[in-house]
Amino acid sequence: MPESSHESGKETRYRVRVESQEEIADGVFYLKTDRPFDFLPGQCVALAIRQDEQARYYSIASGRSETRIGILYDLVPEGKLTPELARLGSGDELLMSDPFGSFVDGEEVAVWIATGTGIAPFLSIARSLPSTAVARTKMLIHGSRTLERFYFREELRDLIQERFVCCCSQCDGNEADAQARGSGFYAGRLTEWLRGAVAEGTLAAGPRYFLCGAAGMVVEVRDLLISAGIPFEDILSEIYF
Amino acid sequence: MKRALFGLTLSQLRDLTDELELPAYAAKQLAHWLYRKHARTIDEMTNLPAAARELLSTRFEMRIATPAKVSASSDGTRKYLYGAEGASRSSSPRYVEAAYIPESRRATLCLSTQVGCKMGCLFCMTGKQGFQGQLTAAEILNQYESLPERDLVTNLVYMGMGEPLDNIDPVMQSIEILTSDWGYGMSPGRITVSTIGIIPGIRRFLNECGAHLAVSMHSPFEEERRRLMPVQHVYPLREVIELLRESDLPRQRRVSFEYIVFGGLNHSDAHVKEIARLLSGIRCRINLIRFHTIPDTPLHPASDEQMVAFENQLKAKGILTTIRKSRGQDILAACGLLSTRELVKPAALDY
Repeated sequence: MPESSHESGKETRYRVRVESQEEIADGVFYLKTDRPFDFLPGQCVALAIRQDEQARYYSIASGRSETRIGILYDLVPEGKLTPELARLGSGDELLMSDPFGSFVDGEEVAVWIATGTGIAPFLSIARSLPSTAVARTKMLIHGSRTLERFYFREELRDLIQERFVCCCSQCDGNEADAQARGSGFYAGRLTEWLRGAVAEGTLAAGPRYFLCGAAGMVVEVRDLLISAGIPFEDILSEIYF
Repeated sequence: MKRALFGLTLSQLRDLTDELELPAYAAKQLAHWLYRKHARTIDEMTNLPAAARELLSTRFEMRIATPAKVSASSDGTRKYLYGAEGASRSSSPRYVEAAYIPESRRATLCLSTQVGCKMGCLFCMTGKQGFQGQLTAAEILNQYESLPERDLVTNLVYMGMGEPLDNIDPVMQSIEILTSDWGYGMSPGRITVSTIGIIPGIRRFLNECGAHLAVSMHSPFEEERRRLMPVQHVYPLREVIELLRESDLPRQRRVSFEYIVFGGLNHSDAHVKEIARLLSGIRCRINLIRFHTIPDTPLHPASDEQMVAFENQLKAKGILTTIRKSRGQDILAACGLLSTRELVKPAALDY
């Protein structure tokens, strides 16, 4: 039965059941629930446990053809929702809004840039588009601190192939050496890789650029792209707030 | 660690007096000393018994901070820089700004509500700091309380660093203290809160206080606004306007739209028509703002002629429109410029 909460600004009218939940890295969870609606890959939902609490927004990480909604999220120990969300198990219920948001992408050529769990909307889009289109038109640059935080790395490598770059800012020497033998791994900050790519001409004006992550990253990367001559009209940003 | 007295509401002061087993009326006495008599020490609160003051002093402190720096403009605007240690996420000092803007018949104080900002608007200097923390109600109010020109201030605007409705609890608490009889006793009509359009925050703000609301528009077109303001992905302008249209606001409560005019970008005939269509049936005004350029921006200021032409076109559509005066340009008046320069280093970014 539909229920309503307007506290978040988005009506959490669906009571959905948790199918599974896994801690895929320290403090990072992947939650799967019933799927009560269709959505556009890249869209968000509002989640809450109870009607009287303010819902929080998360990008959908699952593909459009999947039978479950997948949510990738960081546990925020002082947060109002995620500590309780992280304790949910199979069969538990939570409240979910209709999908919303316009951070969506089609089969046009695009460069996706994300940090941490900001990978979620790109994961959803990559899982939803025809695999040939993803491999042909998308480039993904993902920044994280440690190797374990490149979520769904193997799946994304299969989809995006050689144009998937992982920038690991805190990998130690052994990890860096091991990974550097494979293509698409960079031991350093995402912005360092971007500056190099701009200098080499790997990144230039033409495609649309999609940025997703914390505000500081989005602003810094956007400034970097603009200073490299990429029109701001071609840069779309989704900030986690 | 001692707790702060300044910034507490009457209800919180009652909890405090209960906790210390002081008479119930002591809560109002405390509020009076804090917000009407502007006490700086607990010892000044002489109508409280000496034993009560001593007890209070063992557990509480005032925590009212003076500005760390002031810059004075030739036009009379003064910008104050305040430390925000409570909001710091690192050992580096963090700062927020408050701008005092005197005019012939009024004096406005522009308050900050966050250290940095999460919203990432393309035209904003504060966003370049990233988000570094929320201010408490006490830190918001301190910008007013410790202002040397406090008694000259006629209007308060929450338009400094940060998005006020992304820090809604302390912002509402500060407004409660400013507008209550037991607090500063200020009319809500002298307060304006500016937002980029956080819908749940607007809903709560409209329901819980009587202050004016200003919404940053900057473009009436969805695609263009998305590129200027990422928040458009989540809270589209049309949904913000629908909410305002549905809200039954009293006539004395003002809604305004802030509109920075960027040269060659957002002041065409098409923009005028779309603004008029969007705002049809809403009692509001538009404030046109000159863009003060910031480093690494692809945006440009509009010329005076473009500003005036745009103003006239909007007026011709029946929209009450004014061009805001630019103030304090010689002291880095654009929001966030002063504190950004004061940062020892940017927020610890690691990705």
